[in-house]
Amino acid sequence: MTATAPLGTNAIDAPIDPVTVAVIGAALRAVVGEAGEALRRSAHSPIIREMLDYSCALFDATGQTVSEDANIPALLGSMTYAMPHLLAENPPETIRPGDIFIGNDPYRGCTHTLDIHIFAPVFDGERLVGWVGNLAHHTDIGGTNPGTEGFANQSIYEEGLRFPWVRLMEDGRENTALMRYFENNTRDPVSSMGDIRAQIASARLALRRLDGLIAKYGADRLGDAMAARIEQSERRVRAMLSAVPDGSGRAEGFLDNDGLRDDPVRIAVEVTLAGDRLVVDFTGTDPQLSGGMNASRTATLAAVIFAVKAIFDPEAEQTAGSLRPVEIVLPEGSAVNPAFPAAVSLRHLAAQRITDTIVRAAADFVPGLEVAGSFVGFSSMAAECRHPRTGLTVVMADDLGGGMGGNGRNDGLSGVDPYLGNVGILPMEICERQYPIRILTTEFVPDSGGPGQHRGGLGIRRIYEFLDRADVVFYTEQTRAEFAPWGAAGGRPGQPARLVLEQADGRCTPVMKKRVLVGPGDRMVTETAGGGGWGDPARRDPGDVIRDLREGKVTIEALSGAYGAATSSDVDK
Amino acid sequence: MRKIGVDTGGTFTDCVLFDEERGRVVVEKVPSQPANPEQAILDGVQRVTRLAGLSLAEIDVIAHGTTIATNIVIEETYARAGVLATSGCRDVLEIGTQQRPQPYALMHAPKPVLVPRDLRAEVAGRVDAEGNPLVPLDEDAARAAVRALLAEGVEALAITGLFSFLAPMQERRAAAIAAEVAAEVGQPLYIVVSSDVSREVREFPRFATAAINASLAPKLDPYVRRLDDELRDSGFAGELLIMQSSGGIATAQRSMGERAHHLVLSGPAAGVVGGVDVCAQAGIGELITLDVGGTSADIGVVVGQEPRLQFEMDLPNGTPLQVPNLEIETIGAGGGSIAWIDAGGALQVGPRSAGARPGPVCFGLGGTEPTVTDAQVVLGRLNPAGLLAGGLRLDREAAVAAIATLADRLGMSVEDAAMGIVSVMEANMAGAIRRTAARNGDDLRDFTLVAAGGAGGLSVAALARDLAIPRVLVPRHPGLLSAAGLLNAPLRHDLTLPILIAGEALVPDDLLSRQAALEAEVARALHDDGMPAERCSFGHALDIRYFGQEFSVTTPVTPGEAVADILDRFHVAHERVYGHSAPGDRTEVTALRVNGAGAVNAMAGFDHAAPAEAKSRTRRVWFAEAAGYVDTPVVPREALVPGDSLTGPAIVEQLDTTIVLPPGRRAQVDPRACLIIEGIAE
Repeated sequence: MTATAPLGTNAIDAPIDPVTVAVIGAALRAVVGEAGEALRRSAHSPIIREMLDYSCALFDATGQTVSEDANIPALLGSMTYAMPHLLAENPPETIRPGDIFIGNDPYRGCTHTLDIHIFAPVFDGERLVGWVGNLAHHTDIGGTNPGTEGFANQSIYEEGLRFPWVRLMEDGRENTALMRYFENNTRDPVSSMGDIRAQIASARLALRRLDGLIAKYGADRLGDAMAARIEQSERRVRAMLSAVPDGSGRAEGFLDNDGLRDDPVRIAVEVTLAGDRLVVDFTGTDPQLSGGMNASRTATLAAVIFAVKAIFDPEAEQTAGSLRPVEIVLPEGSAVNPAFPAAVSLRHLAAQRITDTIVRAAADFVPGLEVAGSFVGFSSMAAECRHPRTGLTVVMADDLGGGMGGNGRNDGLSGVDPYLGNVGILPMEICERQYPIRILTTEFVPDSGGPGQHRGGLGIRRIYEFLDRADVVFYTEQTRAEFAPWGAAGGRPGQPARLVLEQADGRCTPVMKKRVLVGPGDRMVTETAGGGGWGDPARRDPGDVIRDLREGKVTIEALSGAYGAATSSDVDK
Repeated sequence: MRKIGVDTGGTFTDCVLFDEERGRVVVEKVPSQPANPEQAILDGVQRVTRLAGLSLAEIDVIAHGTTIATNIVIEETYARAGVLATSGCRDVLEIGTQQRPQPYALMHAPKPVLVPRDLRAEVAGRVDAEGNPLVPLDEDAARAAVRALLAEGVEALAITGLFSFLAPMQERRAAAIAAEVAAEVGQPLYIVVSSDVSREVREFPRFATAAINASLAPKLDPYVRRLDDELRDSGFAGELLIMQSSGGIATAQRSMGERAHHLVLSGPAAGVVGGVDVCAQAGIGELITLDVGGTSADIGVVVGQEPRLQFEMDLPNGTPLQVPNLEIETIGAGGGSIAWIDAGGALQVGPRSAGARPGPVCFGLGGTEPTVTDAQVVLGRLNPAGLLAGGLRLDREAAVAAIATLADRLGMSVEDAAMGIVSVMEANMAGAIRRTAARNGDDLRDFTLVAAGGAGGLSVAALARDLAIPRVLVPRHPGLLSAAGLLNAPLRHDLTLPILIAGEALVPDDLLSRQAALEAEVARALHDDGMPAERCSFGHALDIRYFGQEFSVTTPVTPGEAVADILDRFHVAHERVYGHSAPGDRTEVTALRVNGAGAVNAMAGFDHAAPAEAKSRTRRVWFAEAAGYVDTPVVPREALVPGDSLTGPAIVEQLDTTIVLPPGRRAQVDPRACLIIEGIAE
């Protein structure tokens, strides 16, 4: 961590002393943390409770983010970009104590309909002094597919209920009509109601805590401290950016297809650093897709925020100030900023590719950013099937990670969910006890990591065997060799992902994105991609080569091709 | 009965001797010896025994809280272990949850792997989800694999198979084969099967638990034996007991082998148990212990005199360990936490710490960055003449100079900056306590905050006011709370039996007989430990969940009670833990749990020597409430006797800690010589 930047004149001009700012800052962070624990504790869905797919944040009176948690990187900034839409649709004079607003519309600042945001104003008497907010990923919000997401969706109208920024609570009373309507339009009303009530309870806890801070410090000092924190984080990001020499880099990344047809989709990005300003320009990106894999505007912004934070200052806290030095150019009607009513529910795959492409562009000129490309395919399977003991309908879901790119210091991590994601793998024993699906193996794919001085991480092979009929959706990215995780600094690309459906009758079908009915004895063989290699493979330390061979992470057959004869002869010894 | 509690910490090894016959307590602190922890223990035990005018032969029990397992885990100085996995499992240990420890690191450091892939062998063998054999164990392949691993020099072997918690036969058979091969080869091999160390569903945590056990046992067993031998060589003829992560205690014999991994949180658990005891004597059952040392603060929550227990924990590197353990939240905030200004000009405190070496600037051991301890010295809270009765001198000038650099950059006075550092650290602690409480739905207004460790007393009063915790308790010896906890911890055994039955389909007689069988197993273990039956008590629980959920709520039950009552209690427990419940929804019982505790003779509490000469002095101490220095009475702790009371501002000093009583706060000395600070004065 750096502790040396000069303070300049800010310390003298500041209307509030830095200690009070730090103490109030710690208190605000604690409110966000406590509200998050409360939401997690009382949420209904495992996706919130176990996979932490939720976020909490605090804002100043004008809706600027002051404090935000970062459990799941993909959620960063979602509330930040939603807030201006709420305020535009609800003028300040109409906002009253006891209001709680609800929204989830990707065309009103959210990333996809499943992430439901709520916001509540904080008042000191009659004066609006701030906002509290949270968002949670709901299991289902209606639409064409169970779980709402779908790569083949053709418009937002297939993606369930859309809440514009309307009142879920008014003057402290629940909007019963809205709640009843919500309850009757989701496939899992018990979870939906449980989760939304948990969100409300969490927001109210945050409101009580802010009331306490107002009582202790007064609304003026609280407001000053919020403003100072935003300024501090802007200064911090600018200092971090200034420390890097000016430069510019361009890169392109591709999706295998748009979910409906075979044509690849291009994401083009140029990253330019000049002094303490960064421009991320997506000009040249393909037009929006006809399927459901568009990155909604906010999803793209989240991918940018993640990349900027990870590249320049991973330890920084996220506030409105951290975004100010960054200008983002998003062509209208493109895959990264689609026009209404494009479908966006599966925005995650494109968002991962966006981050990956920004990192690739930045690696051109940011000293010390020595890294190759990672797996962004997120191989997923969702199966609607019968519970083995009760026969009730249940939905199984599993997402597999792959290899991270090698980097200037180390080999890439094997079998992880990189960048914006960080979800857990479904335990085999849980899968087999709750679903009629047996997992025959979960193992690394040897030779899948891109060769390099520092090798790419390995992908995962998981074989599912169906013991009963099931309605299954599979999807992945990076099945095409040309789009596999890229090598850097002379390193080679990782092995692409490979999904094959092996049916009991002997038929074998390669799968990219598919919805299919399967029966007993059918198997799905999933192999995720390995990370790209970093640096010339010929410079790989012979000790590392030998360790890879001993561990079976690289086979002797693949070795001579990848690492050249010099190391092979070392191995013979 | 004469007992000694020995708690090994990072800097000191604390000893408390309790002599029941004479009603005496003698305490002693000796420097820890990280390279040879047993030497410090031996030294401490001998010195405290001598101080009490006794010989080791007259001591009946030595109870030990050890950090040796914790240190092996942190430093990754494990034994060389191998894994023998059955079909499809070889890489489970390395893939783990597939999550990255640092989600924002693009150039991620390697994830630690307990057993490298070349020491993990896989052979055919598979049990299905109902526990039926699906693929027979390939015994020839198993034999060959064990032979190869022995040739690689493994000292220990973990055997891991899917669904072994339902049907352990393949794992057991593989273990028998491994033992045969090791005997043939003539090489010692410690063998553990995953279903013996954990009977919980989910392969990764169970396999990881087995691998950790295998990686610890060959290192821990010799330590425990050596300690036992050396104590006996010095004349000790009583029983050596060791603190477990569960807050219970076990015989030395039962702290080895299969239970080696139960010692990972031995040290911190003792502190919480010590808090329970000292509060029980004051009639307090709901408490939060705040144990503040040099680098970190441990927060433990106790409800109804029971420390909150969980059945899984994460090691510092993220590896899960399935073992009963006290839920303790640790944050990087302590005396050594470093204060710094980030690139944006924001004041930050920790998580980096100067630790014991180089330590705070005022220690004069080479530290150059200002720490919380330096701030406390500047503010006059810590005695510049030295801590530990002059054993550690403090350089106030150096502390002032270090803080002044920071103060200049912040544009404020040295005292304001020092107060700021303390306030930021306390705000971080307050945040951690709030999060811990929120996780379980606890209301802080029901609790007492208990100061522990060398630095807890400096912050508890301020924190309690901030958190609206109505009462603070400072034990007579906060720095010795862990050692005292060791003397009172019950001998404890936990057993789990996994099942899968719909809650509504439970047959009371069937349940009762399973519970009786489990209880008999635990009772036998206590009997084998030499615990008389009349001192044993048993607690039963069922893990219950709503149908379709993955995680269960451990619900206490009484054997023989009606199923409807059990389910009612589950709904209530679910409401408490998760904030909602669904009476009428289908439920599933996933496990039976039983714990057996053998009560040890409780310690009467520290006695107190005759009141020392009231040598109260005053010192200039800076208080935020007064926005300046206040001439503050400095009271030696020994001078405070039951019934005394004290109004802040005041500083109370004793060998092992310093207590800050802010202006206007009132402290009373209770009959056990604990300081009680009540009321939220402003």
